[in-house]
Amino acid sequence: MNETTLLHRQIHPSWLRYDGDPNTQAFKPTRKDNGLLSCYDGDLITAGDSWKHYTGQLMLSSVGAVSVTVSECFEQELPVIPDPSPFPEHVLIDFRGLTRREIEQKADALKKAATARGWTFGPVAQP
Amino acid sequence: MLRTCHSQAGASQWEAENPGVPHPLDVAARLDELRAMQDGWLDGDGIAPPHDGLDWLAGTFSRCYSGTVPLPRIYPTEEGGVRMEWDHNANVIILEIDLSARAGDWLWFDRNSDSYQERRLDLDDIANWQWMASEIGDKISERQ
Repeated sequence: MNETTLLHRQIHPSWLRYDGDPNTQAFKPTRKDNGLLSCYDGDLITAGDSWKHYTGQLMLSSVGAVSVTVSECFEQELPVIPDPSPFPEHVLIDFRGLTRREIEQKADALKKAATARGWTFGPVAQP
Repeated sequence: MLRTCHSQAGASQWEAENPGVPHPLDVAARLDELRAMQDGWLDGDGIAPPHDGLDWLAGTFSRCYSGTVPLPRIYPTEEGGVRMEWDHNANVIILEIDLSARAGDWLWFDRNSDSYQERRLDLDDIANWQWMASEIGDKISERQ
């Protein structure tokens, strides 16, 4: 993994805007995440295969994947931590220790970067 | 009556292009959609917004939200609340509403500077809706 590596983020259907882009909540850790946003290491897995793993093996909901680079995380002063314990491609973006405002601002910046890049897989039609 | 779109022209165009589908900024329709949510909606986590809270918000929004400023996008929150977002150019406004407390956490920030503003708002107080209308009008001046 280097600064140009894409980190694939799965998008829950509730985080879709009406215009088809993900909203900022897709880039904020949830309570169970304890400040650590889960992604896939794009050097180890494609966006499409990450979606298949997330929905097919982990049995979680995703309409597709969008991606940010490691560099874009660093620009927001967000550390990127490989975490192969659940599966080899697992990577964490570290939001720990930030205020609500800081989390919103940094998540917004990641969303802007990801949406400028476009979907790296999907979005797939929902049943 | 609750307004259903930022403008009549916008509503008409949407209806023509998407017959039978509520406009995405139709606040009443969006809040109604949230009634269908169940606990666990976020892959096992996620609290469903309480129906009495949604009733309160729909009624309060209808009575108190200014007719002269853009409507928000609406999303559920993991905690069983409602999130309203306004986004225009560099300006982002987020209001996360606690339906039980009938209060909202307001955040505005400018993407191009360090400027921001945070407030806790009692949403049963119409003065706070008037204040929000003024802020939204200043910062989100054009249609989203």
